[in-house]
Amino acid sequence: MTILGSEGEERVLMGNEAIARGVLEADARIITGYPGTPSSEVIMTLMSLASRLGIYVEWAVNERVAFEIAFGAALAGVRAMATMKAPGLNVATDPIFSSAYSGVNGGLVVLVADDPGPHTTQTEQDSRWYGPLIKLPIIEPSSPQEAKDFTVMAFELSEKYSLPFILRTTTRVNHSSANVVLGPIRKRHYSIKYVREPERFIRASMEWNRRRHKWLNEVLAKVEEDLDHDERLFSIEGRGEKLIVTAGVCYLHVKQVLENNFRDWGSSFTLVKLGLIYPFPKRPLKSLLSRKKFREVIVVEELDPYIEKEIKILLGDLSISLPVIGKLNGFFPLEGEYSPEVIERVLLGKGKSFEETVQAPRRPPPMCPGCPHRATYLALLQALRLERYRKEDVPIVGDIGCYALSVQPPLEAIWNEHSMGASISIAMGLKAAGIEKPVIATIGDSTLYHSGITSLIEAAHKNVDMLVVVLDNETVAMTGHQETPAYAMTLTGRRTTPIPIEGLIEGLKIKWVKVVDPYNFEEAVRVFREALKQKGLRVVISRHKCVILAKEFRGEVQVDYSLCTNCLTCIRATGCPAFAYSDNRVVIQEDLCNGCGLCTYFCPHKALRVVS
Amino acid sequence: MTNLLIASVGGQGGLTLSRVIASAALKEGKRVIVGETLGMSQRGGSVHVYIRLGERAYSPLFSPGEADIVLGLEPVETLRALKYIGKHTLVVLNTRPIHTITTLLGLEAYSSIEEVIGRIKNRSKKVLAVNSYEECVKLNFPKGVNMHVLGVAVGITGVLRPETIKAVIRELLKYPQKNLEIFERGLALGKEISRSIMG
Repeated sequence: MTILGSEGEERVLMGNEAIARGVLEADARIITGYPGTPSSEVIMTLMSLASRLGIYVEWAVNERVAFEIAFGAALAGVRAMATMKAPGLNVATDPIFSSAYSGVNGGLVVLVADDPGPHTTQTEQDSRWYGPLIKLPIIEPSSPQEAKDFTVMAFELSEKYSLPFILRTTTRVNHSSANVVLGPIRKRHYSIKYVREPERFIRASMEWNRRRHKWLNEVLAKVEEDLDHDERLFSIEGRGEKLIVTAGVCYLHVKQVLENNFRDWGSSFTLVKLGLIYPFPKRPLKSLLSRKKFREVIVVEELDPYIEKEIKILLGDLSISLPVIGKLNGFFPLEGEYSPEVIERVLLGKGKSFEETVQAPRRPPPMCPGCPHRATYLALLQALRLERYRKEDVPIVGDIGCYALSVQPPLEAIWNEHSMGASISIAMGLKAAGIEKPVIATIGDSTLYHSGITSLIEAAHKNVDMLVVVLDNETVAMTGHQETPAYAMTLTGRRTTPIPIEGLIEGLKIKWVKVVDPYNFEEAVRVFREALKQKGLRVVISRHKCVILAKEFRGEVQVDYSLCTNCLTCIRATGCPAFAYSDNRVVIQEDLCNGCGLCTYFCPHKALRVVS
Repeated sequence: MTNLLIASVGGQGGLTLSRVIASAALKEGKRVIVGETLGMSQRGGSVHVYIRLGERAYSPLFSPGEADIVLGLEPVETLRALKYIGKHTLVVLNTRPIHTITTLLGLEAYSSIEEVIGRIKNRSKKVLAVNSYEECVKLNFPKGVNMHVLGVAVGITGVLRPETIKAVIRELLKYPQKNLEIFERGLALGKEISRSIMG
């Protein structure tokens, strides 16, 4: 839905669209990040408006670079934002730590989207701990409306205190849609300048660092003093003797449970919602706890007991003995996403138990029909077979991207999938440890640019005896098709200098580099066989555009039932979701089949053919 | 408050359906909150969407038994949403299965449509199995299942006004004419069923 519109208009916006609207209302001019679910839609929404509004909205090669660009812009006095998912924040933290000592001139907001569940992330990282660790303020919205409002507020506060602010969200806020009332777009007059202040911006003097650390602590104390009671960031509802403290989307779940189950919940419960996560709002909570007699404190928060621990410290300081119902005593789970159901179990004293266990067949996420990664892994596995390697002897290390779905049957290809760019270095370690059989690293194009390239430099420098397969589908597919540095134009229409992978690795002087199209299947198998026979570092770039973007297969696959024996080899070999088995025969669902024809290589009876 | 749940497979238009419903609700001046649960794949994964309409709508997720209307675009996905189905829930179910990788490979069995309907009926009697896919193929628009199922549900319940939905289809969707046609078909079917139950 469009985020343009005048003050007071109402829209149904997704949390990330609401954040994008907040960026416009705050008149931020530099917005950059690296794609990562559930954070990507902020930049994707703004990209379509960037050239019209004359703002810089671009994906960066990784989160660290994104943050540094935004930081630099903020040093020049321009409001800037960097967006990332939780593991992306880990990539960016080195410069973020130092930025806390320098501070900024223009407002700088770092959006980090955590993923309780997890739905699409390797860990259930709770980025709230980064507040006290990095020493930067964190605010957290609970709804799309707050997502917008807090974005605007974060820019204003960042500028007021000359400190980067972290806007922390969770999937359920990023990807929820709800009514949002638009605010005013306040155009700012920017005077762009950067003044040399060595003590602020140079971290090479230890004396300066000590002084800046003191400065930082003083600013954080001021932030706490000013904001801990700000009603946008601290709200109290109800007057009951059971105190609930919550934040983020958990507030909405709690409110729903109370509204659904109690006629007048305010007489039994007092509900406190926190928007300021760090510095922790100790003062208003202390005041509440000491002026009113509560029977218990219930802390509702996803992931780690961050708020709960702070509450326990406060109760200790006040010498108040109260039961704290939270995670530490096992009432709430430490893992997974919360829902009204999880909260009902505790608040209503009993679970509305769901007696029937759902026995529905699993639906593991598949590669799409026509996905070139399926062809690459099948060619690689075929080459291993033909070279007489047992599948269980040759480790294939995966990386972050759609190709990680090759873990599912029937391919069951990758052994390891860890973190962005880790595949090549992990494979190096396996080889260094003494694995004698071939070791294969598989990495996507965007992941190679993001951080895999540094590992490839290491592997080339040490001439490690291994095979690196770059699965180049010419896009960042999994997060919704963002561009890579190989593009001649970005999605905002900015003309760029394309940096193809071959050019990128040319300077590494790797002796054996081949490029194949995995849909030229027999050739791909031949190249992989050759690669397996070589020694030293070998690189195969397996290139074919993502099927969702390409749409170039115009035909469809048909079954010749006079030849088909129902042996099901086609299904067992490829696991392509376009197949179905109905009325005791193999069927190709034409609305799903992309006509790539990969299955035709595997039919032993030549019963499958591509018809255009 | 009305709670709608969409149970679908990625690529069936479950998310588009939720956007149509949310936009129609906004047009009718209703408060709306939508939560989505989708996995890592671009196509072919489970996609479940929770939509609350009304003044006291806060949480983007449901409690067990809380769905008022289930828009089941795929049988096994509807089965997966079983715990949200209560005694009062209306379930509109497109009967055309989309296999999972595990059922295709024979690692587990795809539940038969009779079994799916049977298990849903253990929780609610108000189950409507329609071959929406077949209807859409007849109109040469196999991607229209989402609008057909919506049409049936709206025809039975009147949860939103057909005119508002049609306006949204015209504004929002890529093939408005085809989608309108399919929606109307579903709507007519829903009204007919509703009359036959009343009569």
